[in-house]
Amino acid sequence: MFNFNNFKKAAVIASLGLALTACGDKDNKETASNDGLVEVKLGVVGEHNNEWKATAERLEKEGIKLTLVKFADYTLPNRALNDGEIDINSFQHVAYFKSDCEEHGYDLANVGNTYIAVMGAYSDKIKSMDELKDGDTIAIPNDPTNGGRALKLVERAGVIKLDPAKGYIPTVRDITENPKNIKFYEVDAGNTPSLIPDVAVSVINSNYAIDNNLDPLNDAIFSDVTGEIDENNPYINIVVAKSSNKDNENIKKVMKAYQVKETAEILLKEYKGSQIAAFKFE
Amino acid sequence: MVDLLKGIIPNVVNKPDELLESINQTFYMLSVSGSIAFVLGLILGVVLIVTRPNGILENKFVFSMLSYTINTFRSIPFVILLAALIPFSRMIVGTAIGTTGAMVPLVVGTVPFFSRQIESALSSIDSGLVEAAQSMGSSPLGIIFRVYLKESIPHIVRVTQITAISLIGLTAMAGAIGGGGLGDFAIRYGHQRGQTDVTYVTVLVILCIVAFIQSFGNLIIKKSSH
Repeated sequence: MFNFNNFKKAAVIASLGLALTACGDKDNKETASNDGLVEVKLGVVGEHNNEWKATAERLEKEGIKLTLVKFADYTLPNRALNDGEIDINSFQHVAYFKSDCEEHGYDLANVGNTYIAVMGAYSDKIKSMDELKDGDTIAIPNDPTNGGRALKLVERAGVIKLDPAKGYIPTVRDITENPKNIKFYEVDAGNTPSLIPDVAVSVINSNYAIDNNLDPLNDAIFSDVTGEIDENNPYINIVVAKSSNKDNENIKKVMKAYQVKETAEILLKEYKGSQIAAFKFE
Repeated sequence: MVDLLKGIIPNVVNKPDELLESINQTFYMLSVSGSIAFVLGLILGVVLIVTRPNGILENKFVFSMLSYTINTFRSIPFVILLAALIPFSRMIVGTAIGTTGAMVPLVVGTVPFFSRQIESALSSIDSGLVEAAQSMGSSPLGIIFRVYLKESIPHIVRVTQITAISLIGLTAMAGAIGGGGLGDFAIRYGHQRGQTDVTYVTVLVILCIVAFIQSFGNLIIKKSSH
């Protein structure tokens, strides 16, 4: 039997409970320092953050507590940064940063480079992009940023030409010249390695390549990062802060602690050479 | 008229060829994998009904083996099934990419669901009817066709409608291996690139397909009910 009195009691208790927890949260947010350390919250995506953990250890000696805040997907960290929930984030490259900020009107700034992850073309049929024949197929990632980057890679290999007005996020529709009539298959980025046997060439992100036992440095028939890294390469990953915060002393300390030889070595070791430090160090 | 459309659905008007190709791909996937899944699912559903305890061809081993296999495949999320079946697809249709490559995972993803639907449709047959047919000397095959299948046509049509519409949803995920189709078109442009007019138009087109499946099926039910 539905007892209205019980319902009223439960509703009052529930709202009191909610009000109390809200008070509790407010107190936590106002704590500015932990044991005399200044906290800097760093937003990241995914589990590969060992170079940041090493950086955090170095920063403790300088009075900064670097806290990693993990996000489940790429659409969240810039919003959290813009809303002031975190102080900096490190997960995106310049191309994604520019398009995400433009799309959502965020007021954020680049405060330093981290690394660049290689994207490569792989094939079990040919040894060079020149060997592509008329009507061959190429598999590329189907999301805007990785797909666009894959197309730029194919352009760099001299196979197609893309509309320059589309910048770094072109789509298959922006191909202006395709003399070999290459057919592009847009697939989930995670599936690009398993579909190698079904196409002439598959363009794969370095992390997926490694997860599938491919060696980005030795197995790729073409790579979009070779030799010296151009300062203007849009795929360099960066650390981002709010524009109003970009000259913050603590953030500068964090970047200094990160951009050292030890970090470059961790990157090289953990990702088998497919993630290359994009900053200068001794 | 074109200018009006350019105003409200600009992102669709600038790629009508891709929308058309997506529609073709969806129809291709639906018709081919749908027909294969229909036949296979019907057969397996009948096997479940006749081999179950007290069925006309009771067989505990076959029934439990089939049941467990069906349960296992139904437990695998479709996106994972798509990736896991890549080598098998290659064996059966020669490729794992594109609309053709999507056929095998679509069939494998639909048959277990549809066979359970058929089992459910056929289990509502009055056991008295089955006994009567048996006492008149009908063979098991005769009972299957003349009693189970013939008497359940409206029910079978209804569960086919349900499965067909569920299959439309599965085809949306075929984009993960380059299968294309309307769902993938909406995901890539509408969701990932924020072109919401693409999403609206795609949903509208899918709605037409769904409405057609419902009306056509209802027509068959009306004609076959007595």
